[in-house]
Amino acid sequence: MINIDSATSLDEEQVWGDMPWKNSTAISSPREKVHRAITVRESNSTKPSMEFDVLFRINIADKSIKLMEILQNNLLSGSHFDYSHMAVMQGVSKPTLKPFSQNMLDVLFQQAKREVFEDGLESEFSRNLFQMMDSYSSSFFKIFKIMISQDLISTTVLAEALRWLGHSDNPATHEARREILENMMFHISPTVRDGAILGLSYMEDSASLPVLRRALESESIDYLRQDIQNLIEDLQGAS
Amino acid sequence: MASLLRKVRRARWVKTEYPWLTSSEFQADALDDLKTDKNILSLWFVKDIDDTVVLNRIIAALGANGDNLAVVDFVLIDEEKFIDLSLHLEEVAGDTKDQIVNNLHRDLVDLSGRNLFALAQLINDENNVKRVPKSDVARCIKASIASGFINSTEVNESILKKLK
Repeated sequence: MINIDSATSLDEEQVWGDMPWKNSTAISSPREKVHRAITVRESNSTKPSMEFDVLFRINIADKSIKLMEILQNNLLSGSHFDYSHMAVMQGVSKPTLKPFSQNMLDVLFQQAKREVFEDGLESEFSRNLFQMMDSYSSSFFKIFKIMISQDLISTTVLAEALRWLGHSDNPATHEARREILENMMFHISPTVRDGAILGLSYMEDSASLPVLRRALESESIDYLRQDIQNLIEDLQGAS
Repeated sequence: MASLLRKVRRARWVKTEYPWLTSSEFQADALDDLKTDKNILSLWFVKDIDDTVVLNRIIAALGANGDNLAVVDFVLIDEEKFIDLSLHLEEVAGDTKDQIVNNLHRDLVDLSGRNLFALAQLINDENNVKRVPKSDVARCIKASIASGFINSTEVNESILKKLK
């Protein structure tokens, strides 16, 4: 893995190499530089390859714009990278994403079982979750809710996902994230409820106060009641 | 009373979800909180657990080390218990953004599987995982930045944004 900083200011030629869109007008200017790569799996390498999951951005006149996105799910599912699924030319065509499927979330959640999570620290899981959530938005949340209702996600992984739903600062998904977090306040599993309380505390939206007050009345576990009480006070103080 | 602090995740130590666990047992998942590297476990020395100034400074340092502002769950283990178990502690500088807190870092070295389990048993017996809510972690970090203990330029942008 290399991080964002260590992948800055790559030359166009270095990055694109023999990629099929190499000669596209959208990336033909020599002044355009790729300046960011995220979660590249091979260190010291600058060419996208089958093994990469990358998000490149291009800098034109000091303005950063998304150029393309290589889908995480291709890697997660272990299949070969399919360039036809790439979102390519900014301003030329809209990103074309592979249709979202439950299998993609299944793989994500299964892989998460192998990770050890620590509060406040990003993980492979949280990064992939954010990417899917932001890329697929409505279909992501639709399938996520179905999987929750059918009890298809381990409580530990679901609780971790809920924490990160709260950490996301994407306004486009805010309401969908809040709805899930609020519903999960009444989940049968204390671990999941703990994750929901944390998610809502990270979200800092006082619109959740009515739900939190109801949850406080129904919560039977002392330490979770205390957490909800603290959160209510924090949100009341902030509003 | 001197103690050693270990950052954990509370959900791994509570038993509410697992009625099959007896009071003397703990979740196998709890061992995730005691992940060693080269048989070394990272801890923080707290000379006096009633000294909230020092404790808050450690909380600030741990909180400011993350990618996002989050709760800090931790346990405190009586230093004498380490002596009873013949566990060896070494003073090794920590890796936080507060240099004084770094001096409080200890490595629990030469840790065998048996001793690791004994340590987990100790934590379970103490049954006292504490949670510092996100808002309190934010207050601790703010205080450490205001006092010059932590340089704000070294703190992740997403954390700084939440401090405002």
